[in-house]
Amino acid sequence: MLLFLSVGIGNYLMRFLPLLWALRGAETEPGEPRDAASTKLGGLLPFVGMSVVGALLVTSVFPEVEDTAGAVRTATALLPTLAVAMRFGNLGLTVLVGVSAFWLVSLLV
Amino acid sequence: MRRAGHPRKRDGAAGGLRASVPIVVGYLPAAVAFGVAARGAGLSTVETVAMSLIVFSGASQFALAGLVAVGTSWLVIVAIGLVLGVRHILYGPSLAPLLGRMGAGRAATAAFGLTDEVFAVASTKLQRQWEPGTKFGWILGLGAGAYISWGVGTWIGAVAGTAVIGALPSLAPALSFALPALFVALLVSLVRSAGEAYQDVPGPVFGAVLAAVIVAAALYLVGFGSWSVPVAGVIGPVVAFLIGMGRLNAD
Repeated sequence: MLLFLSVGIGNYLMRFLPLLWALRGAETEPGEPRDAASTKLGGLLPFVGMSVVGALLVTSVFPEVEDTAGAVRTATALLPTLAVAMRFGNLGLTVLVGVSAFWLVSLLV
Repeated sequence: MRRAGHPRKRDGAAGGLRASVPIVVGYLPAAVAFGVAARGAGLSTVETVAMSLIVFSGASQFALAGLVAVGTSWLVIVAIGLVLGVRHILYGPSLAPLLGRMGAGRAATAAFGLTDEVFAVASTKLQRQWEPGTKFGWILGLGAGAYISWGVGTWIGAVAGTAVIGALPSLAPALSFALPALFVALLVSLVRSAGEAYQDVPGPVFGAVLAAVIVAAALYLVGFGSWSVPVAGVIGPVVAFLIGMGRLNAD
């Protein structure tokens, strides 16, 4: 539970503090441009998220591909998963299609 | 008669709840999948629901469940959970001009529900000209709809998901694919939104993802799996930065 609290508080502060800072900044410095450091940090942040998620995808897939059958099941299930993610962009639907595809393939392979 | 697009103050929360319907539709199956995945990772029903109510961040929660399942150290789990939430830093400053004047107490309340999807809906529907009280009620309603659906979906997945696995044992290995599937969806979403932001320079986006994937795979294969994510989270942005600098110099 302490683990959840640590991550929960950290996540909350990352939502709250920048909002509070921006709301106060908007009141005291209207129209003031952001400083260079903030702009550079803001520019790199999207790359952190996608890099971490890409790495999580790799580490979550690897335990499934330890034998040939597992590799076939995973590779086959990834195709419709990727297609649905690209076509609809809905998290829930993508997860449902992915799990269903993996289940169907595992009945055959 | 009020003009279209100018809700009354008392309509704020109700309007926010109505606006949360698309989020609820997306959240319910994902939360159910999380509930099942977390139970599969060895967490109890209470721990699973508590994680959703406390953390309220899909990517961090799936990562936490996955890392707990493979016995990663506490510090690494917290670090990864926080790294995955770093993107939230951008949401407050982006919404602040739309929210206008708002006290610290109200900002503290509104910030709790500021997930990716809540931010996306708020940034497209929140109107600058609404009254301050209406804006607060609206964003509170929006966040509440998302939060309740995430909590309820998690509970359904944690409780009913286990029963379904008991009846259909062949489903259990398939449900382990919920994590990779969610990461595929998140990765596509992140790359697409970044691709729109960096239309003229897509190289850094693909460079960051490719470098992160290669580094994570290499570290996993040599037995440093628990370090693959944090290291990739640093290498990816560095590669993106270098590609961006290289293009600037070439121009």
